[in-house]
Parts: sequence; structure tokens; C-alpha cells
Amino acid sequence: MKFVKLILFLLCLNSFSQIKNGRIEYGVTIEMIDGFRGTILEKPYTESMNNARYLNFTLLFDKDNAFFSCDDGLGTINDDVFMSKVTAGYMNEIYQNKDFSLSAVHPIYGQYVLKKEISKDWELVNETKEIEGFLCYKATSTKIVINDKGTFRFPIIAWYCPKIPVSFGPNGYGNLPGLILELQVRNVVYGVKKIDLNLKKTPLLGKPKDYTIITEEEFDKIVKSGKVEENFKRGFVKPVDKF
Amino acid sequence: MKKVLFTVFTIVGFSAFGFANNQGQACVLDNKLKETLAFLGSCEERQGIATNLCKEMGCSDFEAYFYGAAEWGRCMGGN
Repeated sequence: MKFVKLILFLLCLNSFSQIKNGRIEYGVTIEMIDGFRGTILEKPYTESMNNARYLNFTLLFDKDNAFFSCDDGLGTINDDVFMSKVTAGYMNEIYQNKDFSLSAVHPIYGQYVLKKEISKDWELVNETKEIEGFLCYKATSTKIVINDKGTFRFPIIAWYCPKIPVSFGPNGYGNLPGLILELQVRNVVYGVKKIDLNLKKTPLLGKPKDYTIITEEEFDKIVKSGKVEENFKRGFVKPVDKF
Repeated sequence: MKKVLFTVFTIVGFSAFGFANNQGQACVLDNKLKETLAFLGSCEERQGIATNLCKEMGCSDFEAYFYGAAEWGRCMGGN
């Protein structure tokens, strides 16, 4: 009988500790890139850094899926924060599951949904820090950028929280044994601002636009093809899609 | 005869005046066009510099494109 009671107690405890869904708010900070100091890009990059404070990102998730989006700050004009979003590596709303993410590309490139595999190349490091009362563990990875000037490698540092056992995070990152509460990609840091777990109302995660799905390689080809220039020359029309 | 000569000279006079005026305006427009083209050229040059610098510092093509475009817009706005 005692054994049955123990099992029931553990089951109850487990059901209380289970995290079914949540809503996480992130802010972003951007540091100056040393190579831009004293150049034509110092001023615009400084503006991007300053305007980043007005950006709020929201991650809604349930057990299997997540939705990451950006809410422009109240009273800001889209133009003010646009370059901050570009610098933060945010292109559009991201629909994510455990294996891949889907996100509509910027309309200037056409009506496509970009499919990205979720990175699995994490190295778990035995370092901890507390974020918003949660004990977080460090994981590292590398971001590779290839352009016509060369191949660049930048460090990625994620602080994930095993107490919130969902494998999601900001800007399409995830695949760690816990929610990412802080993410640094080169000089851009997404930091958690608010955590709401087990919401009374199940969050609506929606679904991506019904556009043609393209891979990262295909998207890179579109960007490099100069199709952007053509669209731009035809006259930039304010996109209907949220950016 | 006088009337005919008067009419001919009047027509020639007005035509000459109109032609000279057009030439002058064309000259002004030509100079303006040259200035505009030079200005556009300098903005495109700044766009190129910004795009290349961004890429040299490791920006993705996506990011570099928009920093270049922003620089072009700033230049066109007179900044």
C-alpha cells in the first residue's frame, strides 16, 4: 500500500513539475564590431545598437513546437528598428519544431519559406550561471558565414536551463536539453526578460505562410543571384509581410 | 513688300530667341543631369564601400546588402 501511495505521490509531483507550454520574452543587445570603428559603418552600426533596446522578442512554445516573433517597441517607426533586426540576425517569424524551423524570407527576395535544420553541433560545457532564478548550463557552437570575401567562424554561446526541458530558444536555436535563456551569437546577445510557464490558455503557435519552401543553399543562391537588385530597382514596395 | 519682310524678320527673330533660350535651358539641364549622375555615382560608390566592408568583417550577404542599401539611402538623403 505504501508503495502505491509513493507511486501516486511521484505521479502527482511529476504532473506538477511538467512544463506543457510557455511564453518567454527576450531582449537583444548588440556590441560594436571593432573593424567598423572609424569607418563608414560606425554610425549606422551604432544606430542599430542603440535601437536594439526597443526590440522585444517572444517565444511561445508547447511540448513539440515553438513560435518566435518580434514585437517592435511602442512608438517606434519600423525604419528605426529595421537595421537592428537585420543585425540581430532576425529575418521573420520563426516556426520551429525539434528538427527544423520555417520562416518566410524577407519579401524583397520573393515569396519563399526558408527551411533550416536545427543545429545539433553543440558542445556541452560544465559551466553554470543563474538566470532569472534558473540554473543554466553553458553550451557552445560555431556560426559559419561564407561570403565572397572569405569564410568566417564566430562563437555561439547558449545558456540553457534543464529545469525547463524544452529544446527551443531564441531565433530558431535549440536542440539542447533545456530552454535557452541566453544566446550569444558573435556580438549579438538575446537575453531573457520574462518567463511565463504553463499558461492557462494554450498558446496559438500558428503556421508559416503557404509559400514555396526553400533550403538554406537555395536561399543563398537567390541572395547572390542579384534578384534583390532587380526588385529594388523596380521600386521598393512596403512589404505586406511582417518583418 | 515691307509687310512680308516684317513677317519674315519677326518669325526669324522669335525662332532665334526661342532656340537660344532652349539651348540655355538645355545647358542648365545638362549641368544638373551631370551633377545628379555624379551624386548618384558617389552614393553607389558609398553603397559598394559599405557592402564590401561589412562582408570583410564577416557579415552575411543578407546583412551586407542592407547595410549597403542603408548607406545609399543615407547618401541620397544628403547625409
